[in-house]
Amino acid sequence: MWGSLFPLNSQLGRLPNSRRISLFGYALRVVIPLGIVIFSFMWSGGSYYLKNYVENELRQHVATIGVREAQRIQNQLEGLKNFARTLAGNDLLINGLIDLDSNSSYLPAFFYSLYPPVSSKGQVFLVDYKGRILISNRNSDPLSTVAPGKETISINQNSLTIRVPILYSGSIEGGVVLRYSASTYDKLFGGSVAGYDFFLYSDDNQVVYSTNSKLAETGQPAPSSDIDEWVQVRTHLANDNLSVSAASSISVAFETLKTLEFILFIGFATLLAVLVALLIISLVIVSKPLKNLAHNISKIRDANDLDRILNIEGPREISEVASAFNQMTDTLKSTIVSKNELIVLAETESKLKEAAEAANLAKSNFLATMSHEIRTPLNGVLGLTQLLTHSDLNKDQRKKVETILSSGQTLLAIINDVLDMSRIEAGGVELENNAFNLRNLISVISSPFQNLADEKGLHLRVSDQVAASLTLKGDPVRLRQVIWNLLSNAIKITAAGSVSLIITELEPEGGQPGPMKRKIQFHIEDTGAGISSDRLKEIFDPFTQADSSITRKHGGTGLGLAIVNQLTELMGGTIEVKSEINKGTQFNVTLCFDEASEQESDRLLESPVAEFNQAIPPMNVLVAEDNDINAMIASAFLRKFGHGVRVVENGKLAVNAAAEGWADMILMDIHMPEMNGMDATKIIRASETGKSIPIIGLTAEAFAERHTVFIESGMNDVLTKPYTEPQLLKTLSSGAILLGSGARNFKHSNPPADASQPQVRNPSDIRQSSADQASMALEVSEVGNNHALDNLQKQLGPDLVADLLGKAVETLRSQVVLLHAALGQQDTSAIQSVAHSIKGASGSMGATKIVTLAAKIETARDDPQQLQNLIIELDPTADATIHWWRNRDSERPNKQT
Amino acid sequence: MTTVGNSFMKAPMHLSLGLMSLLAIFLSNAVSAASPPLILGLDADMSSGSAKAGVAIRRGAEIAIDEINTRGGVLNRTLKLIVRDHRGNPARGVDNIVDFSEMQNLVAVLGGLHTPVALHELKTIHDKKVIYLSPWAAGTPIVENGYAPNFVFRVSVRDQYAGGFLTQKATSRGFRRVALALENTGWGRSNERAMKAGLLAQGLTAVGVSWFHWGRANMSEALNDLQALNPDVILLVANAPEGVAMVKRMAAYTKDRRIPIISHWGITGGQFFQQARDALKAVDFTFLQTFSFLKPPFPDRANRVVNYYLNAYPDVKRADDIFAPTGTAHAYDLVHLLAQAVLQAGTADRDRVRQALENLDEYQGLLKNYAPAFTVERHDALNAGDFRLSRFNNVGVIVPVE
Repeated sequence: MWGSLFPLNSQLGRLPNSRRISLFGYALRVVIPLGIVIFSFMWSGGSYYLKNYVENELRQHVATIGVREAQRIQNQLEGLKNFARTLAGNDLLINGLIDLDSNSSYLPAFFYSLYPPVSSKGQVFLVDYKGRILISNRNSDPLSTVAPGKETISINQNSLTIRVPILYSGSIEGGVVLRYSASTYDKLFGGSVAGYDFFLYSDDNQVVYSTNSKLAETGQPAPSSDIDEWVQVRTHLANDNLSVSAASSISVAFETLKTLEFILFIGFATLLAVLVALLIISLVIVSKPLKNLAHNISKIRDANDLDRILNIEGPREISEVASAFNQMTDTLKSTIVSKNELIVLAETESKLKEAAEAANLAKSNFLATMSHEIRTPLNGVLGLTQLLTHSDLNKDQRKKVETILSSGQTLLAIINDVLDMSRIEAGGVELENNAFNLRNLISVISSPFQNLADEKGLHLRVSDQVAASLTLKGDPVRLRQVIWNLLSNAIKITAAGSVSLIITELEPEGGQPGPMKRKIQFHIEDTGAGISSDRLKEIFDPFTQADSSITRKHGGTGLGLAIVNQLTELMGGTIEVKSEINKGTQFNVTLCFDEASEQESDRLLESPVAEFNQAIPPMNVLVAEDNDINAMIASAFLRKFGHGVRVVENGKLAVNAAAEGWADMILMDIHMPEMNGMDATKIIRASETGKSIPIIGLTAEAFAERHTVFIESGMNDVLTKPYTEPQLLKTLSSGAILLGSGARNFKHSNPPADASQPQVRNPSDIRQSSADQASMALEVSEVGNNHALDNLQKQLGPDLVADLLGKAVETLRSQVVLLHAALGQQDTSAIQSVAHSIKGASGSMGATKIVTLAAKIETARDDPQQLQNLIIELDPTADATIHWWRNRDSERPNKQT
Repeated sequence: MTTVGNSFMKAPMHLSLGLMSLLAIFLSNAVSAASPPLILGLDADMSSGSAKAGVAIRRGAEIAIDEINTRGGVLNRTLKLIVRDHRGNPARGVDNIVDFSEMQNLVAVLGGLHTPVALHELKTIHDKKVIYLSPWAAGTPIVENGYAPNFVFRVSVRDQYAGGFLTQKATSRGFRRVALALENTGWGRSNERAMKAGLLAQGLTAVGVSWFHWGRANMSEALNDLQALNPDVILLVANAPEGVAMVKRMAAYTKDRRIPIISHWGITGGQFFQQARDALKAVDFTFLQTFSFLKPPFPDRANRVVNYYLNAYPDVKRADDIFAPTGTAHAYDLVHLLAQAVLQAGTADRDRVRQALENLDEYQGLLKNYAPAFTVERHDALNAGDFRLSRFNNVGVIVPVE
């Protein structure tokens, strides 16, 4: 009892030391790495900020110095210009221009005494109106002509030249030119601020003067202001056609920064160390009392002693934990008994629930099993009764037999419904997701009811308001079952008036579903007796009918609406019912479907016929086939292709018919009563008329060895049943070619490469057949191949397939009865014959499971032990097959609710 | 028609080109055959401080040329005036003479007011054998230039004579302490010699000489220096801008310190009166002139020119208003003298025309009856007898003082 109180605790109690990380561990693995990461961020962030700050400061400082230097240069140049202007305004010089013949008496003395500003190396020239030099100071080198125009200043790496015009009476009559060579630039422009470089650029962006030839070399284009490692700020002197820039190296500034960064690093590192030390100290303080606490708690656990009390010690938070634990043990003591009671109660309840569920499952299983068990003998009864109806009976006997048949069929219908219901309840129904055309489906469902309605004098109105081309994806079989049940109910219940089926498309809610979602409402309305409102709630419950008299009057199991309801729910739809006594009932079934993709729609529509058919001229084809279904399928296809068809039931009749010369081609079943196909072929080939007629063998045997035997008997080709429309077409077309060419035997005109290989027209057909066989084997767990039946329906049309299905059901039933009889009499040849005919007939209708079983029985016909095992499967498989066909069948006149 | 068109079209291109160039040659011969005008240059200040003198000279020349051309030109060739502005700047003047010398059909160049320009041009004039006719610049060395043959001819004042005339006028008014204020150029120095010679001839010497530069706007220094010497008259040699400055400075003195100024005629070449109008009211200012339309020696000849003048130049409404009249009169007579010389030479060849100028027949000019104007030895047509003193009346008309 106590042990169970601490199941977790006892687990955890052993774990922490080994798997959990201790507080020190946390400190070492989490806090310290985190600290180092934060430290790295702070340090790199800090040094990044510092660098940015220093660079910006430097930039600003350089800018300030640049502006100041620019001002200094401007002042310097202004001083020089003023000097030149003063000279130009001197009337001695003006006079000198006019007094060309005698100015030598005063101009030389004047010019030799001139001391230009800043540097005595400066040169001063007096030029005439065309710039021709009249005189200059003693330092002067020859100067090229400089025409005096407006006042200008020009500078390059060689010299600075300032020109000021001399005006007399408003016009320029000469000029003063002041020139400084590059050797004076240091004196003129030299940078005045230590630590900063200084440059002059001419207006064409040439370096004129530089204090640092590494950064800017005179005579070269000015460097970009954004060169790494230094900062340059440029100021343009508009009046003087030049730019002044100051610059400073960033790296020098950063040198000092490195010391600062080091100090920062030491600071952060110390801070980190102190923090780690503090952490460790506080862990030491905290961890000891925590350990004590854990130790004491585990003692209580180990002793299972809730009366034990923990010592309150250590820091406040830890003593609070201890105190809370003490309170918890107190509370636990008081609540522990009632909790145990609760646990017992819950356990009892869950056991009861399990028992109930098991009981329900047992019921479903029981029902399913029972249905099977009942159906097997019932099928026997029905089969034999059917056979009985074909025998000679007097009127009284016939009536009785028909009553047996009708009662048996009713009983079978009830059992089928019960089986359906129990399957749905047991979750044994899986929905298909196939493309189907809604318009077609509705017409298939509704057309058989027309007769029924006419018989009762009712007006059946079907209004299909959706697009004719609307192709949906879903389970058409289940949908069919739902609509079928509702319609058949409505017709059954309505004595007079009308029944309507109205299909409309609704807007999908809230735009939430994609554009491919279609919401379809099926509205079934009758003018029948109606259902009272108190019973309306129950009609979807199993075994409920609006009025128990209905069962008496109309028959039915009362499962129909329950099945409808369950299937609707299964398909994710809703069903609503409204009814008024003596007015009628309305059902609204609303279902959502995906719209089929374009390819799926196309595939539904496409017909493989055109491809081959156009190559084949209309022929007369003799079909020798004892099996009605196969004969019907073959003739339906042939008629569809535009050929004349004649069916005979056995080889003998085929030989006779061939002799008449009517036929252009023969489809020859192998296994037939009276005379088999191979014998018939041999006889026909021996005759004059049948020498060159194409004969195509039809067989349920897929094995190539057997095909070789058939071909050796004189057949041109062999077609494995069940065949598809394209396969038949292909075979027909090759036969037609044969016909045209006049070659009697295909095998001679196209001998095989290897004698051991079966000599068939096209080896790929065999492979195809084997593949079919393989796919059949794979699908053996399923009752039938829906796809094959879909194809058949597409190729032959729903009406004919409905016929075929009806016939198939009948045939299978008789065959099952006959097989039972043969098995009972241990008539080996009868077993083989019936089993083979099941393979042929049911195989054509896609019933793979029964075909497989029949094949097994055929193979094991001589082995009574094995036959015994196989017989057990016969009835359930046949039932499942018939059920599957019925589900596919739009005409189920024996289906009742 | 078609055939012709086709053959024309087929004619080789070079043939039609050849025809066209032949035609061009004929045309150019025809043009040159229509005897191109004889060119008379005018090299003077047309826009600067003495532009009025330049314009006056131009008008005199234009009137004379028009009269000559109306008569049928000279040697069946018309005369054409081409003007070059030297702004009083010798450098420009030399460049102008070079330009003129390069013109085909140039006969002669009329000079302007500025002696320094003319002096500086002498070498080029003689290098290029350009006949230089001076209607104004008075510097003695312009004509007495030492070149032989001498290409300079003048109908104007000669400083040598002006110096004598002006000093004589000063002493005749009883002045004995004569000071000289001279521009510091070749013209100033030419007058220094002439005036000093003139004073010496009368047993006097200048009490002082003050030199001022072109462009000097303030004459305080120059005048103060002279005033310190206590002169009773100042003889001034200046052009209009410096003359204005001088008169203004004189007017700025208290009345008792103001002394009369007798000026050479350079001041009449610009906007002297307009700029010195107020100062002139306070200063006794007279100046040398040779001719006045108001008191012409031959009124008939003068009236004819005045009428022509007033018709041709509507900016001048009355004879009174004809500015710088000496410039116009001198230029008028010089152009007629030149035309006579060309006629006499029978050719436009400049050396032949120069020789003809030295051997002219008697000519009845506006200023005088030239009998003859020039000789080989004498290239100055006027002498002191042709000079008179004038002054501006209160509206700026130059009126003779008598």
